[in-house]
Amino acid sequence: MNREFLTINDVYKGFGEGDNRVEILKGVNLNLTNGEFVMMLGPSGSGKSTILHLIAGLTPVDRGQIEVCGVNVQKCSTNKILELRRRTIGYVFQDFRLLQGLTALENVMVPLYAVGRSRSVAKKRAEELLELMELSHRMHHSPRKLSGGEQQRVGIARALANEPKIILADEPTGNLDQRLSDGIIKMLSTLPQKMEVSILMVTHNQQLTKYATRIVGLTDGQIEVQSNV
Amino acid sequence: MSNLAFKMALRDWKKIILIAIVLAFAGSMFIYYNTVMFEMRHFSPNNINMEESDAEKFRDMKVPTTKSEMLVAAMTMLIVLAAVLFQLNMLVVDMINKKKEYYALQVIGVSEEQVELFPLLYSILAGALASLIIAAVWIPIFPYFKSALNIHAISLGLIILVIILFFVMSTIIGVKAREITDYMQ
Ligand SMILES: Nc1ncnc2c1ncn2[C@@H]1O[C@H](COP(=O)(O)OP(=O)(O)OP(=O)(O)O)[C@@H](O)[C@H]1O
Ligand SMILES: [Mg+2]
Repeated sequence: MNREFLTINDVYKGFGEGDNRVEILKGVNLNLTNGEFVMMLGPSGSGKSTILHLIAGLTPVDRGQIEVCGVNVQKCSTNKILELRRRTIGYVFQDFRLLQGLTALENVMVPLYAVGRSRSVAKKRAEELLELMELSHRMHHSPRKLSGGEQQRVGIARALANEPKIILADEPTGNLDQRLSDGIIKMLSTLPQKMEVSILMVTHNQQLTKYATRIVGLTDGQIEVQSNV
Repeated sequence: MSNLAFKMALRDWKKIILIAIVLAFAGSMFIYYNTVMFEMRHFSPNNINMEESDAEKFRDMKVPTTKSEMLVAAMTMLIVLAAVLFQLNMLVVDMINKKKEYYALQVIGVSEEQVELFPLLYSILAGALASLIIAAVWIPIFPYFKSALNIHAISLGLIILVIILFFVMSTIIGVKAREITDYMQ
């Protein structure tokens, strides 16, 4: 049951050249096992988003290694990384990033088409997910007609489409008020009981940490464990 | 994925129609003036190839000088170029507006080629509609146009050329829009 979905081993990352060079991550270590809901706190600019980008293979590490479900992200070909992002990682954005020209249902179908699912299979799966998100009545609406909370639930449904093992969520409730944030995170926290998934979420909101199974902090480029709930 | 891209493009029909009308208008100017110039020059009364009955129609017409012909050709070319730039601009602005969303698609594992389908289909639809408008306007009136000005079949070739040109150009613009967007930022 305690399968390791993510291992970050002594990772370094900096930006810029010469005098402008800043080291952001200085030896980050972090593990994520099946069923965990880990929240990451840390001051602005400490590199929280950077960690998520590194996991998704959006930028390379300077040193160290990251393994996602046993796959070394640094050694992956472009195609292998795409496969990883499609099937193993689900990404949730602070600003939702749904295509306004598509309906909620179609937005959830996008990642399913990306792995070659047929229209009927993709539609069925997307409907199931939107039902799970309690959005059955909103499936055929454009995201611009949905509230922020509803849009984010579509974003989560999209992230779940291909049954990922890791959900990466970068301040998913950063654009929502406290009541909505609470609802969304409460819902997220129930996911590991429903499917084989673990969640790594970045947040500034201390009131949400009650839903986490573990809280970690990022300070001075390193992860420190704050508490095990 | 292409059916989603197609649906998304169709839902932006107002912009597509606007682009198509601008393209069709520019293309029509190009066709009309260049056809007239071409025909007047090569089938004027001074031209020995002209039949007696045809010469009638050209009696009071001034045969264009090479200079004015070139001027007209250059001006209509500029108008076509402006229209194509307008299309490109619309597409690039659209891409900049949706840049974050398209990037997000790549983050969730949609390949770059598949992301490109979205602007591509948008551009192709606009180009195809422009080609259709030109074909629908010019091909039916061509016979009348032909008899009125005693036009030669070469002009039909010009019409078809413009139709194909817009279609091909829209495809290329669709593919290149992303690179141009990246370059501009
Ligand atoms: N591509 C990049 N090029 C240069 N610097 C970058 C780049 N990406 C991030 N940085 C820098 O790295 C630092 C950490 O950025 P990051 O976005 O990871 O912070 P964060 O912890 O997510 O902050 P916030 O809480 O404000 O979102 C910042 O100082 C940022 O300017
Ligand atoms: Mg951030």
